[in-house]
Amino acid sequence: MAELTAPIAGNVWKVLVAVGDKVEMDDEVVILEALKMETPIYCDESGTVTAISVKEGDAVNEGDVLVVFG
Amino acid sequence: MFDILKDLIFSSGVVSLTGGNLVMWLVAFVLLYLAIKKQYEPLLLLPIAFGILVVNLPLTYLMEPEHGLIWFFYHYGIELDIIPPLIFLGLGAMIDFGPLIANPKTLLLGAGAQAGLYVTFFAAVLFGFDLQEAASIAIIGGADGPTTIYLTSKLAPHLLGATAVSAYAYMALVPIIQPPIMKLLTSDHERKIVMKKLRPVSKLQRICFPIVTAMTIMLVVPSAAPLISMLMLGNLFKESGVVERLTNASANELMNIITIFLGLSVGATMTAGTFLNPKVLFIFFLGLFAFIISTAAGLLMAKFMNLFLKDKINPLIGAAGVSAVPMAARCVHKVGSEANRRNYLLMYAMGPNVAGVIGTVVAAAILLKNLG
Amino acid sequence: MGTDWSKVMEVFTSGIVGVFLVMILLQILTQLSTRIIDAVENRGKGSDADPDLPTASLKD
Repeated sequence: MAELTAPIAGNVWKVLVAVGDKVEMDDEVVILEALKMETPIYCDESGTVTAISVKEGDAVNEGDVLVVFG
Repeated sequence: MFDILKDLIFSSGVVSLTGGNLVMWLVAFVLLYLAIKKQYEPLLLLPIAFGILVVNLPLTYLMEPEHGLIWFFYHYGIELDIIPPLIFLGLGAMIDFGPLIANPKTLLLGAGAQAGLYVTFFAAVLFGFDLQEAASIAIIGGADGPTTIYLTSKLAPHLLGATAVSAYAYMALVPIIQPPIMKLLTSDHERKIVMKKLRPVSKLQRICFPIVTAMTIMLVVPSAAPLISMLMLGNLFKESGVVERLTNASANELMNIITIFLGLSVGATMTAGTFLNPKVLFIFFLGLFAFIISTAAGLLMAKFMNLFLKDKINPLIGAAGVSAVPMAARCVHKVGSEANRRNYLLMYAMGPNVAGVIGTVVAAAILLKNLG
Repeated sequence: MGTDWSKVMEVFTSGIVGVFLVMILLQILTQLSTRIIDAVENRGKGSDADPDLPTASLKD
């Protein structure tokens, strides 16, 4: 079970995956908005999405869990 | 009857129009287009453009000393050095020095980028500008509107319009100007460097920083006082957390009000006489040169520091020493993510970005001390 | 309107040197104050306190 955590603080702009999706390394998973810039966050391993911990509009801090994989 | 008509015609501005005025109308229209349609720094460019337009309508006496409406804004706001420091108050209330406090080495990157200013100073002197003018042109490379306006209004007020418009225009163009230089001066391997996680910064440290910085800089370079005191006060408002009303007023209401007067006054200095001058073309060219050299200087400084560091910094963040906040930091992040998708440089780049603001103020203060 | 080159060099060098010196000074003071605050805050929490070592800080 791996977690994708936010590398920077920001607001969740878009969630690009759903529970059950298969993802590969370097796929765009979530887009955060920080300092008015769209920052895509990429997967660091392959797997299947088991849980999404944020929704669009949430404010996240560095280290907050975004997505959980199995 | 005919006399009344004749009088009306001859007291109108129309007959006093010069060709120069018409050219300046064109400049104003272009800037209005850029501001409104393209949204290039509209908060400043729109009032500046309107100021240009209005001052090139003859016989309005809007800029007439002791009488003109806009002259009063200009005299009390800019000549008396009130507006730029107040903008810094607002800026300080919005700025986050966290990434800088977490990694104070980035202050050196802020310093490195300022070296570009002095190279531009040299170049400007070679181009035939006198020392005060050269300094005002050099400060454009600091990528900091209020500091540019502050210094230019003191050293070379006749160049105010050109340097201010230059500074704001190139700040908006950072995403175009910087990447080629960044790619030229760094290797692919360097651009991929992932930096060590930033240590957390406590509230007390955030409160301590503006106090220490204000005292240090004002003691060492007193001519920086108007700008640095306001910048740090604004930041102290924000970090103390106890004066939210003052923080909000500084960052929002005050900032907005002051921006109106700033833009209008700066634009209104651009009469056909002062602006339509071959010197102005050189200023635009040197301004671009300043941005380029400062970016290069920041990058090279980062590479130099890496020779001595155990935990390497990604040299790209050196480019953020050009204190266009946060445009340069965003640009660094973009170029960094092109090299390594999972490298999120934005916060790391904010360190040098805000350090650059301090650096530019210090550079301006030293120029002022030497040439003022 | 000859340029006073000695003045130019003076401004150039004093400028570059000046900015660097001020920023280095600020860096040292920031690191110093940060470490002191770290030590004070850690002691308050009862865990191992960070020793106050300003000289080690430049090569962090």
